[in-house]
Amino acid sequence: MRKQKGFSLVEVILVVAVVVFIALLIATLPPAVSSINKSRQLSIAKDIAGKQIEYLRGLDFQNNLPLGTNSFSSPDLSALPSSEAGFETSQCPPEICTLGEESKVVRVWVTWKETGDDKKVELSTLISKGGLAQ
Amino acid sequence: MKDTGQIIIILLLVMVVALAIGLSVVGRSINDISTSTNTENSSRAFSAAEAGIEKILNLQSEQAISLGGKVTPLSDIQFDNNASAKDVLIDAAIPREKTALEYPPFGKESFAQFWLASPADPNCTDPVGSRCYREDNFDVYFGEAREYSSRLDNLEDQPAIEVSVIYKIGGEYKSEKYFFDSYVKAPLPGRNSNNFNGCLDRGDSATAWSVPKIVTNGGISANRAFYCKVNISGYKETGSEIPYMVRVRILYTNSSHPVAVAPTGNASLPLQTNIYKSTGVAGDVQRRLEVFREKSVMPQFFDFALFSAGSLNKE
Repeated sequence: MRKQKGFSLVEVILVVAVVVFIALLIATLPPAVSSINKSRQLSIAKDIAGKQIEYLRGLDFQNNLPLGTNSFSSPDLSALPSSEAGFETSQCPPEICTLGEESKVVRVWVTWKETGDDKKVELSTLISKGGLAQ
Repeated sequence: MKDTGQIIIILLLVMVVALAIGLSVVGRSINDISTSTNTENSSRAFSAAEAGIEKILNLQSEQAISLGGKVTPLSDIQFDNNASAKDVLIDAAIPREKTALEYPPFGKESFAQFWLASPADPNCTDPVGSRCYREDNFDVYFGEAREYSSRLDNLEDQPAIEVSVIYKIGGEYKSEKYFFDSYVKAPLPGRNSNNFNGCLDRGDSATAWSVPKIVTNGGISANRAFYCKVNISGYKETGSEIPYMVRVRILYTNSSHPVAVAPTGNASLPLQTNIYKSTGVAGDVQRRLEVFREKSVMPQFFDFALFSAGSLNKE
């Protein structure tokens, strides 16, 4: 029988399949790495917001916890690209403080950018006169 | 010889290795996303639960649902960030009549304080209404109920306690100290000659690692188990002493242990504690908070000193 040169059809199909498979795999790698990075940044942001709430809880309710919006800084913010952190204190609305409690609603947020997308972590709580750290 | 079929085996091997790498990367990233989502929900739920506690703490102080109060469920609190607080309540009638008062676990750097006179009426002008404790003895339960290796005569962090009973007689405050060690045989230096008393009852049998269970805090933590039970008595030598308070310190151990004081006979301890509860919810995550707050507790840094308007005698 004459010896046939070149590749068989099966071999060609298999090679094409492997190349496609590896290409797909490589294509999915960047999102996976990005999601790991994203979760790390989320944890950092959450920690910053949590620490700020603890700090605000320790302030004097009457004099040092004014109503309004403020920004704050934290050394950990440098780990987040284009990050900003702020908090807003407002009087407790009647639908929450139904019995006229002397409380303020505190909203703390941390925003940052991740590959062009705006990301945000926001924590809300109440701080009351005579509360946990008062 | 012509090799046929080898290329297929090599290709399969390459595919398997690539698949394994791919799956591990994808699996890890999915896991990370899930963890970070849960962590964020957990933070939001915790802040919401704290909001519930803050709300009820203020309600308690402003509207005086203080001692003698009752279980008061509050309406849920809903925040804009999809977190909410529910099951917010205060129980201001602790301990219940004839039940023990349990202090949350604490270590040797702290102490527990139990009122025998009512903090609202320390001079006991209304003995029945303020539930003054007039008995000459009470029980103290302490120690986490678990299997220590004491059964084998090995020291394994078993706690000892110092109990100070402070009482008032003729306008003077006096204190009486008692010492107990839940570890009986102590061959180690520093503990073998402490002359502490042992337990009246100790959970060191092969089947039960606690003394008989007791109800504490009026059913909030019912059927609680402790490692050691002791009885304190003899602080009313003349009979006219007014028991004021009990302070308990944990000794030797490096871990935290619960302590409870239980009245004897038909007597009851005065009302002295509020317990606040709140549950925060965000997504699938729930965080439950419980705050134990006593009326009029002496600061930690006065642990070794008592301040009295009159003279202070130590016996």
